[in-house]
Amino acid sequence: MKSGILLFLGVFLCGCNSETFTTEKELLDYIMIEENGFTQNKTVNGYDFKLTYKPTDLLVKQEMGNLITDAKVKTLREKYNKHLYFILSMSKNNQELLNERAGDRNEFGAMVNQLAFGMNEKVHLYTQNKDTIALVDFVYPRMYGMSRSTSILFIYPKEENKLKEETLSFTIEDLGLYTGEVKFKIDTNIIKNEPQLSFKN
Amino acid sequence: MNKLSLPISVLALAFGIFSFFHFQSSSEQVYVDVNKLLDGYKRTKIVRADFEEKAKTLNANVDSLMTDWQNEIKTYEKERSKLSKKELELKQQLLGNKQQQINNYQQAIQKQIQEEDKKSTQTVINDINDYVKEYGKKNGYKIIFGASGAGNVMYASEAADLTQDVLQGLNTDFDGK
Repeated sequence: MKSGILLFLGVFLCGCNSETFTTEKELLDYIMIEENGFTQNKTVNGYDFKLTYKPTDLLVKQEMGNLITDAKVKTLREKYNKHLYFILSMSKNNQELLNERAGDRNEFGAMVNQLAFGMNEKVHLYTQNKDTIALVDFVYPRMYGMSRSTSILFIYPKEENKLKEETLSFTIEDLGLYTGEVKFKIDTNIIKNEPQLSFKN
Repeated sequence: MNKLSLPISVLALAFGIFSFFHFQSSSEQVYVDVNKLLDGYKRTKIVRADFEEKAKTLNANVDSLMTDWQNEIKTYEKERSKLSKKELELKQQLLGNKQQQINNYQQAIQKQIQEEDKKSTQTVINDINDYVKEYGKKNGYKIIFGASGAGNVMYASEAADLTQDVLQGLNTDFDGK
């Protein structure tokens, strides 16, 4: 009887813990599966929007490279754990947003300006109580038509009190594409129990 | 062993009944009235008011240009008898050019107003689509039709109409919990 209870407790506790992966690829594959909640897709007016929450350990791995030490893992986890990282990808016909603006110099210039400098005014993250989480920074790497989508990294502070609510809303105002405001609801459980890498040599 | 079998079987039966009612997906044919959702959604009113404010400002710019131009026409009508033939031609050309410019501006403004309207309507439609999807998943519906009064749902009993439920949830969601 005792062993049954222990087994039940073991299974229950394992279920509450976050997933651990041995390789970066496994973790990337896991977060790309929509059912797991880390990636969401939406198509509006022919434009594809994809939002991915990037777990801390992916950033840790990116900075650490192949030389792994426990101390370094700890330091980097502390460094990256203070923020939330989201990647927003937008495309039309599997091409970057700028590709379809290439025919008009003015529109192209306006869109470059918007993507490189104006996204802080267009993208918002807020709680169910409409409490806004202020953007720390965003990075738009120019790919010059070589990528299949326009991807931008958004960084927000990780505020524990704002993660107490069930969901966060990530919205993108209309960027002149007639998509209206596009909203993604993010389950805060994926942030609270984010998957990890085992970091073993 | 016999002592345990009874409670276990009772537990299994209870779990079975619970999961049957909890996890079963509804195969009911239900619908929402999209026009009613658009009208009743609180954000529609806010977005519409914003749009009307923008359109009013844009139209006001056109109106003031038109008034200026009409005043110039009146002045020209008054003074035309005093002007020489060359001056008349020049003035007519100037007024013609100005009219053309105002027309172009008016067309550009109309286009801008239509674009703004499209953007604001799409925002509201996105919200409704998202919520209906979420509602359907949460309540286990296999399909929710969207009636728009254009004949896509010709008859449905009142019980199949989810509009009020969805509208209430949509507005609660918009207000924030």
